[in-house]
Amino acid sequence: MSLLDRIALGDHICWTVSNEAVRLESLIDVVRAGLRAGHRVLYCGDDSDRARAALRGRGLHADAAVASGDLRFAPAEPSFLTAGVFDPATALRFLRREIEDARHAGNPGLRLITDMSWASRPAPGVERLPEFEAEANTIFAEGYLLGVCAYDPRLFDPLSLRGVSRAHPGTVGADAPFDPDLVLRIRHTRQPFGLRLEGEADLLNQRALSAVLDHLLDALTDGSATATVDVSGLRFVDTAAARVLLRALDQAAGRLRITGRPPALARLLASRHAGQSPARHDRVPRSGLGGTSA
Amino acid sequence: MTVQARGFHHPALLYHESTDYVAAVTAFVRSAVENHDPVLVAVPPANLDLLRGALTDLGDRVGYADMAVAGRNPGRILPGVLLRFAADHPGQRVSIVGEPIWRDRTELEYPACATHEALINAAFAGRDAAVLCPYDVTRLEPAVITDALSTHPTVIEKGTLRDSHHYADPVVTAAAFNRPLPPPPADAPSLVYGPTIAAVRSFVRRETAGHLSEDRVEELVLAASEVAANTIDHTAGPGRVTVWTEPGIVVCQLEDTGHLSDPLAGRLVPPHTGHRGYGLVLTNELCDLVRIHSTPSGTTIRLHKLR
Repeated sequence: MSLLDRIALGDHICWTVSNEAVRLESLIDVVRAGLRAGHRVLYCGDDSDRARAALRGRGLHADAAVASGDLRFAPAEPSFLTAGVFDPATALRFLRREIEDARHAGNPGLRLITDMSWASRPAPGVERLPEFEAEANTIFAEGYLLGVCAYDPRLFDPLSLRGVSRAHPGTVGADAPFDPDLVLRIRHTRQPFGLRLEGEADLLNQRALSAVLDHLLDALTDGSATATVDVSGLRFVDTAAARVLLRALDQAAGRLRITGRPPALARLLASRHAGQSPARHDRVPRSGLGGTSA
Repeated sequence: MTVQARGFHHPALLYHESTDYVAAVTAFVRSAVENHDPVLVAVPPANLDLLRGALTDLGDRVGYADMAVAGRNPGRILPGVLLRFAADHPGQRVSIVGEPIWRDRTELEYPACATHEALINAAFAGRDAAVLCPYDVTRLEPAVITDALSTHPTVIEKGTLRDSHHYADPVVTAAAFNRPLPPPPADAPSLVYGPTIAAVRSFVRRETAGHLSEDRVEELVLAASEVAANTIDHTAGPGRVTVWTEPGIVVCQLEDTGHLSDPLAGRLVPPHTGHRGYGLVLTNELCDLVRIHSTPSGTTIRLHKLR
């Protein structure tokens, strides 16, 4: 089984891996699985020549896929960089354009595999990469795009790596296979309008969650519109993630509903009155999340 | 010997036998009820029965809590019992009987109890409240009574209230109980963690499964995750998490290079769950004991979960 086998459309993973062979091997697996599923695959980055050679070495007829447009190799410039400059808004437009193209071609999904080594080199605007990674989560949440952002920890200082990693709903090292239960899955829902959250929400992915929630609230332009966040699939929530949900509830001023009360959330809120007499618990005011409906 | 003046009062009640105990505590409770002050009695179960029996006529004007449950973890008593009771009665003087130390308290629990007693003074400074702390002189070690004299500004003994001449700055007194912990067993599994908390959670889940119910595993996982989040937020890392079992308990210890300099961290009630600083309060809530040893060169936090 390959390390990234269980990745699915909508996932956006920060993959920190320094072993070249492991990286190439696993990314090739993601490409193959994508082509098999009929997805369009965009391989972006410095090592696309090596990736292409590795595909060929593994007996995959990349040429046919390239000819049909299902597989494309692209350098970082101009995908992410424009005239050597990184601009989050331009990079987000690039994602949207690629999605539009793939949808237009009839592909059921798009896989974006990026060797992020380009971002370790000095370029104007590159310090805004975490902002781009965070904002991009709204696009991933639509469930059409899958993203593996491969960061080589040898190329980034720990502080920068921490910044970009926290903008992803999940960070995975190469020492263990990707496990969807251990990351946060954020997906848009139409009926009811809103989001569905699954997996583990914590300090390290709260920035991603926060960016998607902000967009959700921005989308409620019509005064009567409401949104629902279904948290029933969350198996873990920490106080940092709860803070993000509570803030969104506050900001939405009644236009956001949180549904589902998984044990993980109940644990965070309800275990506070052990041993006290019932006459006293009733008086303890509940926080906003305590009142979520089942 | 009732304590009626406004302000904060925190006497140690040194009692020798149960008649002595019941007389002193019920006098304190009745006086508070007469003043229409909300009263909470939080004592170990045997004493709770004695007091309930002696106070039946007061009905629900007195709240009761089993200290062996609500205060099983000494670090929970301030945020989860005392301060919460005060917060439930804003603008009112509250009176609380809090008995956090009894004979079965273990050697590992005791420093957390004494720290708690010292920090009550800091947490309640300037508030309008009375917290009466009974100490069983016949059953507790003499050293425990000596410590009570340094953690309580006043003492009641044989019906007389007097100042305690051993009382000292609560933060300084608490620092004396900031003691190193005995090392984990040499063969205990441990994990060095960098900036991924999910790895800590997986490790704790794996190592405690089978020793605790699934619910309690997840409670310990949440507590460990909150502590590891502090490591990641406040230190350059890495940290180490170690898990082992002792008779009747599962132990999870996290060590990092940070310094937890605020002795009240985890003991004050933040305004709501969404407030920063709730992590350690939650940890106290979820565990049966939280021991912290912190110096400028590193912090060790040991979490106990009863099996």
